[in-house]
This record gives sequence, C-alpha cells and structure tokens, in this order.
Amino acid sequence: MSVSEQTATAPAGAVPEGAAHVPHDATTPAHHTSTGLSHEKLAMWLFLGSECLLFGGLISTFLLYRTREVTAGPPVGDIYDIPFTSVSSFVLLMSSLTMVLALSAIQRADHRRARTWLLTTALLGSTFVAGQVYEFTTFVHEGLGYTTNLQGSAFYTLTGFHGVHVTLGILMLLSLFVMSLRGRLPAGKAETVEIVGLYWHFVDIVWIIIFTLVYLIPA
Amino acid sequence: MALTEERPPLELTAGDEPVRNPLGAFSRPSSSYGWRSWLTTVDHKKIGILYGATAMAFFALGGLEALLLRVQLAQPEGQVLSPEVYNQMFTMHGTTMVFLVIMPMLAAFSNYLIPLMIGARDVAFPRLNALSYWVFLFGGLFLYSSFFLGGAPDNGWFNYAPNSGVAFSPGHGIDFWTLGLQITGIASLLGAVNLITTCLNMRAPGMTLLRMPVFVWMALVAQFLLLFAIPVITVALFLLMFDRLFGANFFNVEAGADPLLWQHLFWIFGHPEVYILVLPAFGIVSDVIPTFARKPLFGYPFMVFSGIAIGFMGWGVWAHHMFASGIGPVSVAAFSLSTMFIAVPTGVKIFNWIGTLWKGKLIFTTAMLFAVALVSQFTIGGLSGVMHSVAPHDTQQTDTYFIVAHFHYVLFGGSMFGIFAGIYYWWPKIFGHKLSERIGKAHFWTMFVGFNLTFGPMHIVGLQGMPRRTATYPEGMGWDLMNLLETIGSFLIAISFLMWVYNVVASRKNPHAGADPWDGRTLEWSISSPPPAYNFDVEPTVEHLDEWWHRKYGEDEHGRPVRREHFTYLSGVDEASRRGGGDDPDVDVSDIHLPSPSYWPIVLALGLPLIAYGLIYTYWLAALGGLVIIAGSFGLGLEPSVDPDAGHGDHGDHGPDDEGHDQELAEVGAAAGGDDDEEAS
Amino acid sequence: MASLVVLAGCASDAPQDMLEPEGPYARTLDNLFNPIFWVAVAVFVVVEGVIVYSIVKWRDRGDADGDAEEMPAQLHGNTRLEIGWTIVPALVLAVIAVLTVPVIFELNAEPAAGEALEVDVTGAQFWWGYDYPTQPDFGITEGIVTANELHIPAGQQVHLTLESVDVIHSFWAPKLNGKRDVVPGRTHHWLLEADEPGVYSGQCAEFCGLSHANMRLKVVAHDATGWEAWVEDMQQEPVAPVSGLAAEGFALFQQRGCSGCHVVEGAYNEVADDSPPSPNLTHLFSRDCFAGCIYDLNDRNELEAWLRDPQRKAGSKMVIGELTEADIDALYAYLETLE
Repeated sequence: MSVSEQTATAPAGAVPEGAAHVPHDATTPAHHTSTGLSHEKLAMWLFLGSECLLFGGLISTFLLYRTREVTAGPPVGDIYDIPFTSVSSFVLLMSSLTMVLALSAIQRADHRRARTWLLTTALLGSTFVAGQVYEFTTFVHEGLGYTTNLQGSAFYTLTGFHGVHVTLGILMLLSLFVMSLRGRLPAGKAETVEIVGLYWHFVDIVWIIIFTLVYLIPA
Repeated sequence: MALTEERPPLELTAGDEPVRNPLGAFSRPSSSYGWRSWLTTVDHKKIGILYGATAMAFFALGGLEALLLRVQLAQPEGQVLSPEVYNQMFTMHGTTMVFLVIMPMLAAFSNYLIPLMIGARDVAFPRLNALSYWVFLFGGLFLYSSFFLGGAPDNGWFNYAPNSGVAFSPGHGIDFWTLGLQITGIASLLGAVNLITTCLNMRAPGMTLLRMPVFVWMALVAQFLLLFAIPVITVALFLLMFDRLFGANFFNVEAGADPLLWQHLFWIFGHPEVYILVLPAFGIVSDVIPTFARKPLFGYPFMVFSGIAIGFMGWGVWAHHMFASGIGPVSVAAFSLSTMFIAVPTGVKIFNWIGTLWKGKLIFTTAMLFAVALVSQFTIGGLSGVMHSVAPHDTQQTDTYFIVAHFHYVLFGGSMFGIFAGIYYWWPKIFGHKLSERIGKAHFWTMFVGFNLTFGPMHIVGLQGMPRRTATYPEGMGWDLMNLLETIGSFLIAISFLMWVYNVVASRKNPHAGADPWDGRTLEWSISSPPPAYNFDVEPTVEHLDEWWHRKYGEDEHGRPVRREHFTYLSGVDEASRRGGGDDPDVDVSDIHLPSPSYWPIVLALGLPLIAYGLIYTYWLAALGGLVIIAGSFGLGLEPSVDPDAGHGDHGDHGPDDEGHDQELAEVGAAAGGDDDEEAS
Repeated sequence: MASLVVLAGCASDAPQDMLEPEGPYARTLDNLFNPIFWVAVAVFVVVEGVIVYSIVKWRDRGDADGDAEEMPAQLHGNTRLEIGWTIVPALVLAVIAVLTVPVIFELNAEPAAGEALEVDVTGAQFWWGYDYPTQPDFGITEGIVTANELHIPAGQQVHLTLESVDVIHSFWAPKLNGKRDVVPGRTHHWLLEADEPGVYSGQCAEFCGLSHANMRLKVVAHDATGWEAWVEDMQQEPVAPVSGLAAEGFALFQQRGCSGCHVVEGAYNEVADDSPPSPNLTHLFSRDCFAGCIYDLNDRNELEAWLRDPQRKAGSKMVIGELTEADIDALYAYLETLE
C-alpha cells in the first residue's frame, strides 16, 4: 500500500491553476503519473509478472513429466551436455552485464559505447540461441525428437519458448541499435533501453531457473 | 434554489424539455465518415462501446445456442438436435458466454468507465486498447467461423484431455477452440496490462487508491487476475495445440501422459476466471446501489479488501473442480477448506450491500432492480457454492445440473444482472439519453422470472441425479416436469432480451438526460453526456471518496447532506444539467492533445486469425499472417501516437444515434478530426 | 426456492435421487449434506428476508405533498458489524469444515484385504465392463466378465478398481455412493454398498464424447441366495447350439465378424487384435439392458433394431453390415441362448 500512501500524502490541489492548459498527451511517458513510474515501465513490469506464470506453467509441466518412464527414445536426462550448457548459460549471464553497461552508457549520453554494448548484448544473446540450436540438433541426433516421448515434448517446448523470448529480445536490442545509429535514441530516451533491459534480465533469470531445475537437479 | 426543486429527476420522465442544442456546441454530421471512425478510433469510450456492442451480439448467439439446448431437453428422448449438434451447442454456449460475452462486457465497462472514474483523459495506451478490441473481435469471429468449416468445437468449454486429442476429436473444431482462445487471450492480456497501468498511474491528483470507486477497484482486481490467469490457460492451450498440430505427447496417455495435467492447468486459470467474471459486476452494483439508496456504500474499505481477498483466495481453490477426479484425500481436504473460507469475503460483500440498503431511501429504477436482484440471486449461488465445498458430497453434486444451477446463479444471476444494472445506469452517460424505464422494468421482471424459472428447477433435477452435458435423458427419471419448466423459463429470458433490444431502439429518441440524471456520486457524472473526447476540461483534484457527491452536497448542522448552491461541472454540459445547479467550467481546452486514430491496430489484429487459419489449413497463410503482424507492429510502433499534422485527435462522435453528436461541445478537441466533417451548428 | 428443493427431496420417484440414499456410503454423504443444507436454508431465509424487508421498508415512496426531501442518514459503515459478519460466517464454516474433513478420509479408506468384493470396472466409449477376479470367499472360483449391469450382494462392501481404455468417464450410482472419475492412464478405487436387494440406476457422469448421455449403468444387488445363483450361473459356459435357428445364428456370429470383437466363452474366446473394446456376450441374456444400458433386452424389438443398425446409438463402434431379416432372426435365436 505504499503507493496509496505516497499519493495520499501529496497535497490536494497541488496541481497549479489552469492545469488544463498543460498539454496532455495520454501516451507521453514524461507526464506525471500516480506511481512515479512511467506507463511503459509499469506495463513492462506487469507483463513480466504475467510471463512468470507462463514459464511457471511450462516448467511445472516439464517437472511433472521428467519423472515419468519414457515409452520410447532416451530420457532427456541421459543426453544433457552439462559443460556445454554451462558455457552457454554463462554467455547469457554475461549479456546481462553488458546490458547494464549499455544502459549506463546511454544515461551518460555516451552513444558510441551504448551502441557497442547493445550490439555486444545482442551478440551474446545470439551466441546463446546458436548454442541452443546446436543442442537441439545434437539431441535429435541422439534420438530424442519433439514427438519421441513425453520428456522430449516437454523439454523442447520449455526451452524453445525461452529461446523465442531471447530471440525477441535480440530483435529489440537490434532495433535500439538502429535507432541509436539514426540518432533517435537520445539520453532522454534512456528509459526505453532500461525497459528492454528489464525484459532482457528477466529472460536471463528465467534461464537460470530453467538451467537449475531442468539441467542440474537430477530427476 | 429551493431544496425541494433540487432533486434531479430520477424517473422515466427525466429531462422532459428537449434540450438538443446546448449553447456553444458544434454538431458534426456523421453520415459520411461515421463507420470509418469506429475502425480507427483509439478513444477508450468508443472502444468501450465497441466491446459492449460486440459482446451483446455474441450474447444473442450464445442465448440462441442455449435455447436450442433447452428445446432439445424440454422432453425426455428429445429428437431436435443430434448428439453431434448438441455437443457443439453446449460447448459454444459456454465458451461464448464466458469468453465472448461476460469478459468483453466487463472490458466494455472497464474501458469506458475507469478513465472517467479516476479523472483521466484516456487509458494509458490508447492504441494498444484499440488493438485489444480488434484482436478480441477477430478471435471471436475466428471461433465462430468453425460452424462453416466442418463443425464447431464439441468437447465442452472445459475441453478435458484426452477427449480433446486428435484420436478422439479428429475434426478441426478443437483446433478452432484452441487457437481462438489463444487469440482472445492475447486481447485480454493486453487489456489487463493497459487497464492496470491506467488504474495505478493515471489517477487524478488526490485520487488515492482508497478513493477509487468500488467499480474501479473490482475491475482492477479482475484485471490482475487476468494478468496472471491468462498465461496459465495459454500454457494449456499451447500444449494441446502442439499435441494436435505437431504430434507432441502432453496429453497422449499411451506415451505416459497424465490427463489431469490439463485439468490442473485449466482450473488454475478457470477458477480465478470465475472471479474475473463476477468481481466487476460486484463493482457495478457497489456503485449503483449507493446512488439509488441515496447514501454512501456501507463499509467501503471492507468492500475493497474483501474484493482483494477474493482475488487472492481465488488462486487456492481450483481443485474443487476436481473432487471426483481422484487427486487424493489430502488435496481434497485442503481445497475443500480453502473453498469454504472464500465464502467469508463473499459474505462480507453481501452484508455490506444490505447495509447500504438499510435505512436508505431506495429508488427502484431498472438499474437498482437489477442490482438488488444480483445481491439476492448471488446469495443463492454462494450458498450452493458452500454446499459444493463439502467435498464428500460434491462427489454426488459434481457434473450434475445442481452445478449448472449454481454457476448460472453466479454468472447469470450475478454477472449478467450486474451487467444489465450497469447498462441501464450508465446508458444516459454513454449515449446522452436514458433507456425507457417502463420497458426496462418489464425487461427486468421478465428476465427475473425467466431466470429463476430456468435455473431454479435445475437445483432439483441436479439433486435428483441428472448429469450435465447429456444430449438426452430417458423417461421415468422424475426429471420431466422440471426440464419443461426450465425450457419455458429460457424462452422468457429470450423474450426479456428482445425487450431490451426493443428498448434500445425505442429509446433512441428519448430526450437528453443531462450530465447527471441519477444524482450520481462518482466523477463520470461531473461531465457532459456523452463526455467529450478528452473527458475533463480540467483535470479534477480529488479530496473525497464519492468526489462528485461531495462537490454537490455539503452538510447541515445535523450532518444531513444539503445540496450546494454552486458547483462546477468538469466538462462542458448542456443547459438541462446546468439547471441542476452546477456551472459550466470556463476553461480553454485547446491544448488538450489526444492520440490520433490509427489503422494499424485493426491491421495488426488481422494477422492473428490469418496465422490461426494457416496453422489449421496451410502454413503459407500463417506466414502471410506473420508478415501482416510484423508490418503492423512496425507501422504501429513507428507511427507517432499523436498525428503531428492534426492538431488534435478525432474523438468526435458518440453513440450509434446521430442525436448524440449534437451534444458534443468539444469543438476544439475535435477540430482537426477530418477534412469534411466539421460544421458549426 | 428452498421449499421447492425440500419438496423435491421428499416427494420423488427419481431413481437417481442423491437425497434418497440406499447404502451406507451414500447415507454418510447424505448425513453430512443434510445439516449443511439446513444451515444454508437458514442463511438463505435470513439474508433474503432482510433484503425483502429493506426493499419494503426503505423504499422511497416519494413525497407527494412536496415536502422538503429528506436525505437518509449518510452511514459510512460500522467496524463492529464488519468484524461480526466476518467472524460469524467463518465460525459456521469452521463447523462445516470439522464435519467435512473426517468424511473425506473415511470415504477414501481402503477396505481390509478379503473384506470387500473386488470388481475391476472398465470405462469405454460408451459402455461399462465388469471383471470379477477369482474370489472363493464370494463363491467366485473362476473370473466373471460382464457388462453394463454390475451385480453385487446386498449388505456387502464392494471395492471397485476403475480404469478407462479411452477417455475420462465417471462411475456413478447415486443411491449407493458419489462418483469417481475413471481416468485413462490412472487406476482409481471406489466403494459401493447397497442395504437391500434391488436395482439401482446410474450413469457416466463425465462428458466422454458423442454418446455420453447413452452411457448408463445398473447396479443389481442380490440377497444371499440370489447372489449365489447369479455367480453359479455366470460360471457356467453356455452350450453352443447344434441345431435349428440358433445354430444358424451361431455360425453367423462368426461369419458376420461378431466374434472378432465379442467374447463368448467356450465358443469364441479370442478377439481380433484391432478390435475396439467390446462387451463380453457370454451371458448376454442374463442381463436386462444392453449398449450402455439404454436399450431393454427384454424387448425383442430393441435388439433387432440394434442388429439392423448399431448406429442408432450415436458413436457406437459396432459394425455389422447389412443383415437380412432371416439373419437377424437367427442371430437373435443364438444370442437368446446366452443366458
């Protein structure tokens, strides 16, 4: 309820006379908001809250089915390449660091560095996705296709969904990169980078959870 | 002004004097551009109307399906519908009423009212709002197109695995269901993010959370439930879709899958969904009853917190839908207890409504009749709900008509009656004129009798062992008379719905009702009817719960409310409203910028059904849909929200009736809306 | 409304009325339900009474003589009342909870070994199969297989093991117990007991597809001698007819492919590998109903109509091709011997 208190203590009538003359654009983030968070940032937080349950559902499904006997093909636990996935997890983890650096650069209006870090983040993300494609290919060669058994369906669906999220994040990062190149990402719009960063960190954290629950803890 | 004259007209005869052209208003002919503006609008009020109109159209369809079901069941061994058609009908009836009627109806109210009630000029993301509506509409149309493409889904709205698998449901019906609900789910999710942001972020100065009208609160809780429930059913739908389209094994028993996975995922969504459907209706009556009881809502903070409590507890009761499914006695006991105790906050709501009625001066308008009917009918639904929570006996009740009776008392006797209360209450705000109270009362009584005649006897046949979802029943089971009564009742409901339709048509020439026809309590009554595109001339500064009431009424030495001599409306109002005592605001609204209309939301939304058809028929179509979505996203993303070439957004007209436009005062706000549509009156 | 419910509860000749239990399990449920039902009725009467009272009492009748309008007192709430109407319902519910929870565990208790008659129940679209494993204590020295009609001794605990071969079904005989879902891939258990000999009606309660409405069942409870006779009868293999119309039917049974799906012990013991699950017909004419218990076996026309067109029941998996009336007569004559 801190939100309520915050607004409750704002003196009533704090808005200057003739408030109607202040240009009001419902979508301008700079406009005063009741929580102090911009609409966009609040919306991203809400969206990520929703995403938690999406991944929660997929992870639960996987955990339910990984303990079941497979009727065909190898159980997914037998074909993990933990060292390889550890490296690609580390790569993804590092991309969170470069994301932070990108945000900090743009807040300092250091656009050249910001672009460098944005691109680095996107490249690290792409490396992770490439690693996932390689992993999937290897698994298929080892006899675990999408339809082979319960675990295959659950594993590919869960990690595939995560991969799609990373890919969308890469697209957002590249869009930011292009915007910055065209001079359409001034320091005043650093919040856009921050919001994409929120998404990026979230996807990272989800991967940490997946890596721990799905790969590391034995069934 | 003498006290005796101050009470605004509350009956049908309101606004006898036809005040058509308020001073200073510009009317805008709508003939040439009208329809197009509805396709491109980003105005939360127009989008609200679109949601409402669409939902009522689906209500007619869902009702028609229900009538067919009732005709089939009027007598034992009915031969009207084949089992194939019967199964499609009950599936589509449930799916329609939940996803395409009540949810969008509540989206309609939330869209229209939340900004008005919290003193905002629009929702946080107006164009996303338009996108939500079009996505919802196309999702619904996509689902209904299944009737023409080989048969509608036929496995119930709950669509249990493994009967939903290709092995047992080889047609495309289930695919339409799976994909259609994913599409409408996107609409709900976007809407939830948008409306929560609006509620939290766009409150007028001084509009603290605990000064928000209860409707806003309940809508907010419902939107939070949607935010977290939609992803869960999305997971379920994905898994089913991958099973059906790509041969995954999630519900493939032969590969060792557990069919109960579907039930858990579905009901983790499905039970919060019940509160999504009913909480906003609770909010509606929590605003309607105080207005017509002429006193504030009893126990406002308790109403708010009980709503929040229901929202939280609603996540811990899902498995009470599965008491017979073999989940083990410990789970059954836990969910039995949690289900019982969710009755506590629900009871608090009932008691507070009664507390609001108590010692009031109750004015029984149609809206009030529907609202009070909700309270008494929901009580019945709540009590039968407590009976279901008694898990051992629920193994008798579940999957019988006792359950059907229960949830119709909740969702029809509760949600739909609340929706009709809201429709009668806010109609003059939305369209400028009231619906006929005379027809409205006939509508109410017919629906009230019809509803109870249809669903009351279902308790009895349920206890007598009649199972749900059966296309026919034999003679000699003792169910014949009650089923016949139910069918008769369902036709009364149908007649009452037609009365409402007739009312909408017959009332369209009703005199203008003024800004505040019911002597309302909340901010939406402080602005003209219909409101201008920008809602408020002056961003209100809020100091009270029921702010508008406090602006109109002071207190005498006994603490009795006394109407003030002077108070100011918050946007241009017509003369009829001014005679109520208030003044027009005297401000310049020329600097109010609103987002401009856009074609991109509808274009972007169109991509989704294309993908869905593509997944069923040919992936090329899906690729085309994907391209449309990418193009739409870039179009929407790159297009400035406010058209730099137009001074202001086009939010001109309101309501399907041309008269409504005459009430527009927003000459400036609408100035640049089009090149051919401005004309001073 | 409440009185209507009560009336229905008292004055019904509904064979599936859950308010008229005829066995200890159903009675346990009913005994739990009754007090809760009356609590609910009391709450209903009080709440609706107050609503109606308020409507009548506080209705604004208008001031016809134009008196100054009095606003009602602007009550905002009362914390004591709020606490009261939070705690009192919570206490009532706590009582209900205390009554409920023990029954949940009681009904899930497994019977001691050898105490209960064991029956394996199979749900299939759209009929029920019953398999009685060998249980010398109950006179069953050789397994019994039958369909749709579950025969049990009255006054005897029966332990059901429920499995499904296709989709989810739910086994329900309301006068004997609540329902339990029959879920493919899972094995569920359920208990039944009838006080008195009699025939108890029931049906599948979970939507299971096209003919969900036509998946009915009967539980036939016998007295001791009746049970012995039934078991005795069921353990006799029928004698294949050697002459006359029945013998023609016997041959037709194979020629028409009936024996590819339906077992008749002693004569047709093996079904085809691709056979859909099909009722065992060994003692068909010991039963009163067939095809998910929706047709009367004592009415010759019903079985003949079925043989003419098994699709008269939607979703039926039976395929038999065109039969002449003579074929039907012969098949009927044969089936009639399967007592």
